Amino acid sequence: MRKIIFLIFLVFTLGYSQNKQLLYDFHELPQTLLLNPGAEFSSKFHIGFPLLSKIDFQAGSSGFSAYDIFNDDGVNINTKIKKVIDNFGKSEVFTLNQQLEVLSAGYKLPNSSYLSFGYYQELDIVFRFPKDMVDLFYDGNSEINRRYELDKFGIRAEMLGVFHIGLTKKLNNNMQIGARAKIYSGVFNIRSKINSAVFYTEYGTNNIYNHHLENINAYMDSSGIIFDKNEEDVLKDIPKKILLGGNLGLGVDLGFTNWLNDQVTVTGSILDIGFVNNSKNVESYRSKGAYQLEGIQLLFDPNNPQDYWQNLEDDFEKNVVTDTIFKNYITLRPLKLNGSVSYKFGRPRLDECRFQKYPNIYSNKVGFHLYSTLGKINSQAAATLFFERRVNKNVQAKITYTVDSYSFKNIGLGISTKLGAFNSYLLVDNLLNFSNLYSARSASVQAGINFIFNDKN
Amino acid sequence: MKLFKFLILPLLIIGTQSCTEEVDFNQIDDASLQTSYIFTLAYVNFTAPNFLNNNNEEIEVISDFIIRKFDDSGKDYLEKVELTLEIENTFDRNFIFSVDFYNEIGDLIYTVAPVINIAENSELTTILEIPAEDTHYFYEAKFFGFTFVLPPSNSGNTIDLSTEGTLTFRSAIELFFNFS
Repeated sequence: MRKIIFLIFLVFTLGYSQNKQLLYDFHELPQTLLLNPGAEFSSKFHIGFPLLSKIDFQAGSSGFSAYDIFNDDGVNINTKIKKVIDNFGKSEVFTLNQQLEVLSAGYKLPNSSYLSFGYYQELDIVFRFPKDMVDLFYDGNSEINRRYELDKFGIRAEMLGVFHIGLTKKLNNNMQIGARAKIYSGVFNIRSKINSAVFYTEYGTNNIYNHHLENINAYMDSSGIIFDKNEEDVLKDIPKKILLGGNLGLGVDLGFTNWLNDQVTVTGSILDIGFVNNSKNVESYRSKGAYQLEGIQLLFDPNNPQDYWQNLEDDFEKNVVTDTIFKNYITLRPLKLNGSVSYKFGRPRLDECRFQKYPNIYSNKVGFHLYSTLGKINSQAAATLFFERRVNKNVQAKITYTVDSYSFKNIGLGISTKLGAFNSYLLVDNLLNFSNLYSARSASVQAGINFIFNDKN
Repeated sequence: MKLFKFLILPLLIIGTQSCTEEVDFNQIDDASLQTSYIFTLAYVNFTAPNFLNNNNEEIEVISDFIIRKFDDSGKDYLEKVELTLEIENTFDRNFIFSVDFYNEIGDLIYTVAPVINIAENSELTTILEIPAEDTHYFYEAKFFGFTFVLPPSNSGNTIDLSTEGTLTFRSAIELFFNFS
């Protein structure tokens, strides 16, 4: 119990969201093509350092930070936990997203196109829980007639490997488009949601209390997990499943860059229009019904002894029907939408800057970026103001200010350095919380190493 | 560019001076959660025939049993158990009521104290407690027995088919947990 709580809190310190506002439109980095296959990235060819070209970790909670609980302020920890729970909204969300790019490469085709491809592994968890469920666990059910609404509960968790190949094509001087095809290989998938359910206890007629579980409508789908396998066997299966041996799916990313004039650029992308066909180790449950329990009516009939407990179970199963299904199911990938408008200004002062060789290249860019993700369990939107600057011929930097439903003071900083073909980058979110990391509810770190070879002309 | 330096330098300072304020993760050792859950339990509404045998003679003891089928989860955190009883007796007779725990082979292993004396024509609400040191019996029991004993009447009254009266028994259980 203690370990579980500690782990949960530890993860909660790490941040929140899948928004990659620092990487989006950071056109020196080839990884920006993963966020917009039509992005403005140009090189002769690039190759990512295997396993190190993109390490991306984001996680967090909407409800509280580790500092709220573990602040060494002399206040009893149980008082602080109680305060945190009291401040919960109707429901809170916990997310974890991790990506590891294993392979990444690309090269310029003769016809003004850029071909990029690679493979990355992704772990994605979204967990939404209603406050009523926390109250029920934390305070018990002794509050008579209180209706606990459980319908906000939902979980989605999946691990998959993604093979991808994308093409960025410049149509004319104003428009560039791109598309990326993906093959997903799912290691496991769990999705569960309580669409509706209410629990309450009232004073009874025949007995002291009468419990009600009403309007139950819930489901859970799972694939790739064998519940009766031990941990070691499950871990052993991961490499096979992540490399096309798992539940397979297809997807596509689409994007564009539209240069309205030399200085104003509009971009947009829609990512993960796709699905995974969950066909291996599938187990699903559907529950519907309602149940009320006033207690066990004892009969005191020695000639007709009753198995009261079994009768209860039978009665429950009769009223709340749970179907177990072993049938393939399809999961849609959570859709991500990006859009931005930017304005470039200020010409570079240093003659040796490589971009000066190109016409209409500016050293600064300011803009506005919108992001949203749509999912069954959780949808989210974020707005970002950004300022990008080529500091000198080796360094490019980006500053972002992001507002989302969880923070109004998210400032991020990204720096990319390039020495010859060697490129490294670090993108860090939520800098204001660096003065006290434990108080962060949201933070993300992306880092990587690439080798980028530019055209000589 | 001055503007950029103006913006980026403070951020770099923040970044390079990143730190953490005083936190103490050892506080987790003091974290605990005391909570309780109430559950409705057994109920019965006796009339005279319940206390008669096939020959319509008064019987001394009637019992019924619930087989325990819940698992041991929560055993380590169960602090105490409270049984709430509401009893109304309109018979002109006393009853003695007890809740008893039996093991797999039917041996009595625990009786919840105290045994309740139900006076004639009375109403009572009482709470019986299974203290922390006895909660293990709750999980060791295979059967929970509910027993009503009908002691001989002082006045010589006996129950027969024409006896009017009811004995209403209602109960609930509250489990107190301390997750720490």
